[in-house]
Amino acid sequence: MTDEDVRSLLHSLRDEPVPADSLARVRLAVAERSEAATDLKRFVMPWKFVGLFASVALAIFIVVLLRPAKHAARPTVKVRSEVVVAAKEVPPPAVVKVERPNTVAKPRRQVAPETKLNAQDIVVRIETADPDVVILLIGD
Amino acid sequence: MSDSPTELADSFEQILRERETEILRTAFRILGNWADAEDVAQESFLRLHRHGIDFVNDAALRSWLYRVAVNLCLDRVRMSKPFEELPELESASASVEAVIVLDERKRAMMTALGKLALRERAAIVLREIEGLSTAEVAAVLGSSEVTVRSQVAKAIRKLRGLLSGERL
Repeated sequence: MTDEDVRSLLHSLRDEPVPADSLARVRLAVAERSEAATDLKRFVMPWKFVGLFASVALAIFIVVLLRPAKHAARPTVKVRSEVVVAAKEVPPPAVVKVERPNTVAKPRRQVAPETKLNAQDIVVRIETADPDVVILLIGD
Repeated sequence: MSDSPTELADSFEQILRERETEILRTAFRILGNWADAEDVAQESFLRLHRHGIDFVNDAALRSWLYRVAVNLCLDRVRMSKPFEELPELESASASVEAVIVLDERKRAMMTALGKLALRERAAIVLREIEGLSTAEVAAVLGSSEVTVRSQVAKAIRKLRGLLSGERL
């Protein structure tokens, strides 16, 4: 027997029919079990969505519930101080007089030129509240 | 291919009709008995149903199905009794004498196949009986093409020896 004989014998096995009852059993069993699996899938699928929706809703609810209020007061923490610190009176800041040279010139007062008047000429002299303003009534 | 339950079922039915014979026959050649072969074929198609039939092409589907079936066969052989049952296949030959001779030779071949190492048996069944290419066999068995060629050559040599009554 040669390798080719072995090969041709093996090839002849390829064409052999498979027992019909075996095929029928496989077909039937696969159909039954796959149908059952499909039914289960159909049943489970909507519940999957329900479950997903419920978990998302729960997550949102928890987030909303646990979210801190916008203007919530900050919690105050009371700290008990053990050491009493004596209150010290802080002295007022010392005022140091600094003499600065007066560099700014005082504005000069403009003095009106004095008009020489004779005492005989003055008829009436009226002094106003302002010492600088005197009303003189002069006659001829 | 769509994933909607009705279309999937229709396509699955079609695949089952097209592929059941080759998967059942391959399982039988590896396992040596029809009962186990039927279990393997059932499990293979149920896995396909669970997996879904979203394959790029027919060759990918075929390769996937063979891989699942062969792995199931290998697992089953490792766990169970050795190859025992002789095949009882119908033959469509013309003359009665020729049928008897051919049947005898086929029976002897099946017995000889059962004496091969597991992976050699799987390789030769896929390559020589099912007619897969070396690359396809390598993909199914998860090995290289060189390994497959070597396994097939070794298996043929062993079969020749067994069928000629040589001691191996």
